[in-house]
Amino acid sequence: MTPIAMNNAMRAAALAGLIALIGLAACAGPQARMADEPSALRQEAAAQTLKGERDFARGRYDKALAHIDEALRLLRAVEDIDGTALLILNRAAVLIELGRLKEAMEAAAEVHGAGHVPYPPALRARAAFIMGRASLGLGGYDDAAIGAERALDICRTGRTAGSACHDEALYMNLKARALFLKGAYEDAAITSETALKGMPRGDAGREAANALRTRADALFALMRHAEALALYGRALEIDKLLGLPGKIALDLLGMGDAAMALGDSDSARAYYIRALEVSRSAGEQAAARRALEALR
Amino acid sequence: MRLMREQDPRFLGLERKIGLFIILAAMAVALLVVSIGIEKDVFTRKTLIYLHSDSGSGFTKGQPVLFKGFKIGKISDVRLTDMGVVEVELEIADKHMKWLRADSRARVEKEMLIGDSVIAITPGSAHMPQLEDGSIIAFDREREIEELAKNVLGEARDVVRGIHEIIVYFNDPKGDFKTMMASLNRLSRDLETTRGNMDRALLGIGDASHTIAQDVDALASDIQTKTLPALTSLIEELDRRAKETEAITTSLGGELPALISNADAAISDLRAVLGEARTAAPLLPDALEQGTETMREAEGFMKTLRGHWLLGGGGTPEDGSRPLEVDSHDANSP
Repeated sequence: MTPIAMNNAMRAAALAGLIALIGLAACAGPQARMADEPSALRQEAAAQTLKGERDFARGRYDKALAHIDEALRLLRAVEDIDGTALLILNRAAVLIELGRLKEAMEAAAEVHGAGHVPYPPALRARAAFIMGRASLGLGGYDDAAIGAERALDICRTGRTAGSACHDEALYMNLKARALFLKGAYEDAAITSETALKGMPRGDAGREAANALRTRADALFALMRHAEALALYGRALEIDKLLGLPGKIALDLLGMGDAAMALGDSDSARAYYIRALEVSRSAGEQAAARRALEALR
Repeated sequence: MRLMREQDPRFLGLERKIGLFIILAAMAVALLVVSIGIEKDVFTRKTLIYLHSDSGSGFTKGQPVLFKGFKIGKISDVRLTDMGVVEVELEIADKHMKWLRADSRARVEKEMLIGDSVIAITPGSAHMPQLEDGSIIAFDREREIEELAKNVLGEARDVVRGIHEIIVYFNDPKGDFKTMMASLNRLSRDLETTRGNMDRALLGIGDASHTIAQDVDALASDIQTKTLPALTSLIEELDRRAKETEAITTSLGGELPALISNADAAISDLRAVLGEARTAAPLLPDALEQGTETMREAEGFMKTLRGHWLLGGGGTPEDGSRPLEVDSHDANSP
């Protein structure tokens, strides 16, 4: 047998084993809700969903979308309403990453506006958030703020009713960002501070960095340059840990602007140069252009 | 009555002798006077002509008048007229008047430049009428040496002034010349430096060449002392083995055809196997690695799938578990 044939045989054996294991798990699963035929569909849908989630984590958004679409098709076939809703929102998340913001908004609206279907509050809140987030990308800052506000209302109302809502800080971040972009700097600073306070102490996640950055932007606009510089520095530390070059470049640009406003042109120049290097390495064209303009 | 009779013969006829002597002497003096007079042109018929000048300097009585270097007359008088003009009277021998024409011109010349002044007259044109007694001849005053010197001095002053301006131009520290000289100086210094650098570079190249030459020598020496002897001994060894092989070959002479045909078959088989192995060999490590990776992925996938919410493992859609994360901050926004 040639090595290639051996390789193919190994792959076939692995797939066969997988399918067999899936079949065993389905038979032995204590919480199997469907009959054999639906169970196989659920299993396939689960596998597709999992693949979509993995592709999303690796930045392979086109493949992720394809897997989620397949999973959706399968779940719609078995009328798994809640699963369908979550997959729709996941699909909207992938569309946002792909820059297809209007489609993302339409997808989220299917969950948010479906009054006849009793989706859980967490899912509806997430739908409102995604619609607001899509509006933010499309330049509709008022709509973005409204979407964030709506998400917060649903989230808090749902919590009161006993449902879980874990993403309040995320929705506040969106609201703060929308307020900043609208020019309401004071409100943006306050909202982002509230979002930070709502996060676990020592949170080093992406949204913590977002909150810090938004608050720094607002304080910079309010001429509180020294505080802004410190917050940009904290956001930079988190973004560097997370390995997000686009955010790192934004943080460095903010630090450069703050340093320049404080009269430290040497430090400002150093920050701009770092921002340029990071953005060029990461292919972040917009940030690179901003850095070049700042250096001129 | 004569009281005394002269008896000395020396005194006989003395009165006649004295008279004769006086007559002869007088004749000699007369002759002398006449010859002097002839010499001095006293008996020459002369014509008087005049010239007018605004200055009497350079004219003296008796001053010669020359025509083409020959004396033809002299100045007989220099006087100032009532009009304030200097009139110079020239006595010209009649025989020479034929040379003087109405367009002849007189001028004062210095013999040998600094010698005595003379009056020189130019010939004039042949078709012009001859000057007559009392005519006025045109006069061109030649410039005196002092006047010439003044003119030269004036021109020399201009020249000196020009030279001074040139010197000032050249001496101007901010002028083109000084600036150019400074640049040339800098250039020559830089050339010196460049030349020094080139010399050092050449020395370096020389040193490097020397080092390379030494290395080449060492290499040649190694080849000579080590490589060649090793090759020689290798050749000898091969030669020995060739001889042994020849001996073996001879002994196998009879069995060789059969052996060869068997070996041919074996070689063909071996070639086929080797060909396949050669093709597969590079892929073997990759195939093994891919197989291992696939198994590992399958294990991980199965583990996660077992816990997936769609299959009833932890987390439910109601609480929004396992949603894909959406960044609240759009990096492309301002």
